[in-house]
Amino acid sequence: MRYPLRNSLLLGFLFLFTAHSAFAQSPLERVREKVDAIITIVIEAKKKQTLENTATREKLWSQVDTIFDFNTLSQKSLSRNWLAMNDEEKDQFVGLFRKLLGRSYLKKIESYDNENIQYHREVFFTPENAEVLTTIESKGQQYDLNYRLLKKEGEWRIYDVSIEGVSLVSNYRAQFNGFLRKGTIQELLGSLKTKVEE
Amino acid sequence: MKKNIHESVAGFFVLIGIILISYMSIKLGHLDLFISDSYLLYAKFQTVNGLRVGNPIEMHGITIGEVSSFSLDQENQMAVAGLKIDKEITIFADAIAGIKTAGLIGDRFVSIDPGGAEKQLANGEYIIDTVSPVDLGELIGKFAFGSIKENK
Repeated sequence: MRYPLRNSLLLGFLFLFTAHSAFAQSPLERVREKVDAIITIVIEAKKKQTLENTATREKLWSQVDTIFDFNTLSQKSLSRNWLAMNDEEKDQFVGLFRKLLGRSYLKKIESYDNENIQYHREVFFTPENAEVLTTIESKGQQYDLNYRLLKKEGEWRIYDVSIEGVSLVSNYRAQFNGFLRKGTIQELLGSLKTKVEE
Repeated sequence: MKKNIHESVAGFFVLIGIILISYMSIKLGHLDLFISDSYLLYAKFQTVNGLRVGNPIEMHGITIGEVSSFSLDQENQMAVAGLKIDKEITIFADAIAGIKTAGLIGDRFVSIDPGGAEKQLANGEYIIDTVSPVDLGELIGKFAFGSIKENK
């Protein structure tokens, strides 16, 4: 170490640079990183038989919370009904919807069995809105799995997932609209609650 | 004098004929020569396979416009569809546009859910949330091949 100062400065710059590039990730890199992270946790937990532990659960949920934008997801799924809700109802809805979707997502991921995931490309609709196209190969069949992401505060987050051309938001919007044509928001929250508690 | 009147009557009918023919060609050719009672929105899809200019745009099953043009977004490798929509129909920024098939093998049409939580879309703007169509043939193929593999 002849130049300790220079070396440490270099190291510092290198660190800064990598930290910066992690922040300015492309949507595709972001999805790949998060999906890989979740799969790694699941595989490790399966090996140690700790999939049902609260520690593993918390780890998985914290990953889910950093990649999914449940707020936008709820807003888009409710569309015009979102405006009719007060802040308290909105919070309650986002909380319940997060639990419902997160749980079904984790359930799917937990059955991961070395399926081959291919990341094809990313498509920009606006500079803040992109779609990441992937396919999953399972038991010899290929499924198109596309993620819609929104850039919020410099970070890409998923707000819609479509499997084989069927969009999650579009599907839930039709369901919620249908429900709210006859029922009230309180009834919707109630039925979501019973669904989550099941 | 009499000859003149006969010629004028004949000319009059020819004129009416010409007006009718041009009116018919404009109507049949879907040309907007006069004031337009619609506005144009765009939507990007991965593919517009099967969709043609003039195919209907529907909302809750009611026709609210028609597909008016196609272009390519070469940078993103996407197809851009121009959607001509009746003026009195409002569509919001969180609308979802999808390409659907009428019946099992019927014509393609664009289905729009108007949304309503964000601002109203104006002439020339994009519907950002789109759902690209599923190729029914491909799906059947997958199903068929999948079941063959599973039986092994």
